[in-house]
Amino acid sequence: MFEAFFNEYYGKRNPNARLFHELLEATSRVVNLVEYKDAHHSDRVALNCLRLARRIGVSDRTTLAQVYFAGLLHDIGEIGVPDNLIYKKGKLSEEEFQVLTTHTAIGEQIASQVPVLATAARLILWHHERWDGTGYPEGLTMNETPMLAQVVSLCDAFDNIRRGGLFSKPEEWDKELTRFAGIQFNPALVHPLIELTEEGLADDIECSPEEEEVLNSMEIQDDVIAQLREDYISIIINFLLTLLEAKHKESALHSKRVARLCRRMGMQMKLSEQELQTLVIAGNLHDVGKVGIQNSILDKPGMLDDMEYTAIQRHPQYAATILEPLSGFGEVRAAVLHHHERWNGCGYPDGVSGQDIPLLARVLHLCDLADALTHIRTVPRHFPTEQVRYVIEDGFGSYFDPDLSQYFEANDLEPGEQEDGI
Amino acid sequence: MAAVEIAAFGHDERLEVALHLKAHEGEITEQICQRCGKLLEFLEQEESSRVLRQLLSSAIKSLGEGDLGYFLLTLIRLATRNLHLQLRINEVSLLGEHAFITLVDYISQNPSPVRSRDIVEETYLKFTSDEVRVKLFQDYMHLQENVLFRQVEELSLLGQVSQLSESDLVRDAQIPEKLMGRLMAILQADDGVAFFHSQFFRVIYSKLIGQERTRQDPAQILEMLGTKMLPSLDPQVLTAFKNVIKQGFYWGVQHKEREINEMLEEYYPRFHANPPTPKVQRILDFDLDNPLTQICAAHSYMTYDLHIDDANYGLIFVNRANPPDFTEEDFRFLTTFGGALRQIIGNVILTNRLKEMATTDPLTGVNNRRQFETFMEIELTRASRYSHSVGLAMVDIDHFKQINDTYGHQVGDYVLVELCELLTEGLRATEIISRYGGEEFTVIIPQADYDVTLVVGEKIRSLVEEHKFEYDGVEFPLTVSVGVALFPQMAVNRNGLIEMADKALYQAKRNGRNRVCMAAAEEN
Repeated sequence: MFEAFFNEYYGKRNPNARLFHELLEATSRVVNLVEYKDAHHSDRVALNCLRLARRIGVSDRTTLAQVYFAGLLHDIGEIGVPDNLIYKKGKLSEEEFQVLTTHTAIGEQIASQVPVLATAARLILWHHERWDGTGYPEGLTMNETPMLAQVVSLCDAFDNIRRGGLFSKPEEWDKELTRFAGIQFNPALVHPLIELTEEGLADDIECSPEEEEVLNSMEIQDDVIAQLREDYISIIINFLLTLLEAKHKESALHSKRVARLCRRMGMQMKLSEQELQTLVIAGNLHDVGKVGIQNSILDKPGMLDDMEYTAIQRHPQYAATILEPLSGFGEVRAAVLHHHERWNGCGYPDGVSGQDIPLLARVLHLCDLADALTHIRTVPRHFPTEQVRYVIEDGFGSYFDPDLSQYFEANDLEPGEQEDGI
Repeated sequence: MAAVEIAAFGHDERLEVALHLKAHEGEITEQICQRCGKLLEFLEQEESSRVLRQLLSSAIKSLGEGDLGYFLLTLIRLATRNLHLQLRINEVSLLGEHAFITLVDYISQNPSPVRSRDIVEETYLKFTSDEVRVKLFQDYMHLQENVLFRQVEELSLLGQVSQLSESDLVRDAQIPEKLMGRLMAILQADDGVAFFHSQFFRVIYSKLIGQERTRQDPAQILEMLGTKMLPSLDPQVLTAFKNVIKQGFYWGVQHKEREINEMLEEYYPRFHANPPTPKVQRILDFDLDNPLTQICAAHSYMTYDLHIDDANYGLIFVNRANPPDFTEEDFRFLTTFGGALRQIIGNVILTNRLKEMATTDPLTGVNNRRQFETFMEIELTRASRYSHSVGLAMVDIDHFKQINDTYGHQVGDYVLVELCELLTEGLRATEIISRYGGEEFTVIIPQADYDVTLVVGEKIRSLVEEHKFEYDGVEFPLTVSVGVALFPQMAVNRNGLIEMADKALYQAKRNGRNRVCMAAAEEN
């Protein structure tokens, strides 16, 4: 699939694109967008994993890159866990804990969408195994857990300790590590990590040139590149859409339907094959920015307040940010970024109008709208229409953004359809 | 009792022993490998030594902690996860005993800390005590339940498939429901579609859940788009959309059963020509026209191609609408199931085809002479039992030799085929048409009387006379002569009846062809 698109944008225009590097960059942006704990937790874990693995004598570059990716994506599965569990303070009940434990499996599922990251996906699955066998999901003991998964697990826990998260005060981190050696961690790994820390390496979140080179070495591996070249576009879409599916299933279904409709619209408008494929890709990815928005807003029954509305309006930009490092996705990115622009200029994010909106974005806008009108995407809103109208008219100027009123008047929208523009 | 004795040793003592044994783990592992190699012989050499190493290290850890819980857990885990339940409970417990016996042996043969032998033996005694056995057994059963349950279900489903008979497939309308329902239960699938098309039977099954919630018809939103939302849309794009809607395009998931069947029938050749890679398919199939992803909200799906030959083909499709995805194991089971089913169906079709070859006339597709005689026998027996009459019509094409000579044998063959089709369509289903030989046909008319037999004979004659026979644009008139006879009024047995009908046919020919003649009663 998507050969015409790939040949044009990666074959002809940009034959030297660093496919693996682009993927890494995009992944990193996704991770930072969905980061729950604090900024750069995953970045730090990824780098620490890489350093620790090198310290214990792993020298194979492919393996090192896999560990790095495993560290970067280790908590990506939390995207499929309800927000209130992740933010919950205090002890989780047994059931809540069971839900939380699924994040390793979800993470594995997401990472395994990229075939070259198959090893990393397995490591993600096991990053909560403990040395004494009381971890999850499989309860592996000691060296039954692959060494590299132990590395990821240790670095994850270490970062939690360092920022005073789970176990103790930040100052007592070395005591903490030693105490859990042989219980939670492999004792053989703890010492190298303490050494790393004493050298001050564990705090540094900038890649050294040497480490950069290790990561980039995937780029020159023929089999990796061949695998990527063969199916690059599908891999990217699959990865991002699986992510969205884990976050908000309805949105993923919606994206697939929109892609199908886009294709038909493109055929009707007699677009070229290459434009058609661009449109389908954009259709699949147009809502991917929603991974950065809380489910409580996406699923909110009833009207959104202005803060929530502003939050949800950011999703085209989020999507554009994710797609930015992908050098061949320029047109896709433009279409996705502007898929909420309106012909009369009342849309967002830039408020451009008429022919200034890219053609593909205009098509995408209509397809998005048409699908939202024919399918129930969120929980049905319980307000009777009349009541909401009253609330809106009454509330404009005080509670709602006055600009919003203009938007309502211009479009004379039924309140139930307000979300369709979202 | 045992627990108290174990507690008699101090923590430090036990730790010392454990550390000592740990230091010599390599040698002990070799010993246990020699001892237990046979128990695990179904494993690869490397795998089995890994298993035993784990077993030993957990035994040593249990020794150090003075608690067997850890050791038991490892045993159970080995039995369920690593060995896929190929070990029975007594073998599991034997493995556990071997681990301790090896330790005791090692200690007695090598210099070891004082009392280490006592410590190991006490733990060993505890392991062999009844209460530990019971606990081991309970845990084992509990863990086994899920795995076993599925295995039993799988085997019983495969058994059901292997016992399918022809009559089940052809007559039992519940079969697809039974098989697919169980398959989907085992695979925990949400949606399932299966169809099989063959010249002998057709099977269609669909069970779809997880439907997308629609709120209005696409056609209805056109009006809204054209008025309220007009300012926000590009007019050119809107026009294109209107056209798309007018063509009846729908981009969502469809569930109407009739449409699904049509879609699958249409899709099958493409599916067979480019089969999907044999694995679990993920949510995204970028072939947007793939009907399989249009009939349900596909998340993770598997397909199996039931292709037997170009006239007999089918397809099984199962889908899970939500995570987790199907596993490789699920796919393996689907393949086994599909393979077994395909073989059974293949056999049924082969049998049917052989039977058909033996009983029908290859050119015209009606019964051959042997089958005609069988039917005659059956009908005459039935008629005598219930005191009915059976009519027999003998049909012969007038001047057939002339047609062959004038137009050629191809036209002759065409006439025969056309005539048979004409009769099959024109007569009732209970009337049995057979080719008796050359251009001569017979029609058995069950439960007839004098009048009915004559009416049927007349119908045959008029059908042929009124039909236009046309070959390569050349039209030629065709008539038949019919002789009819009645059992038991005119004959006492099969041969007699055929003879009477034949005589009547001869009479009809002599009287000028294109007419029906009734045989004279026997006494005349």
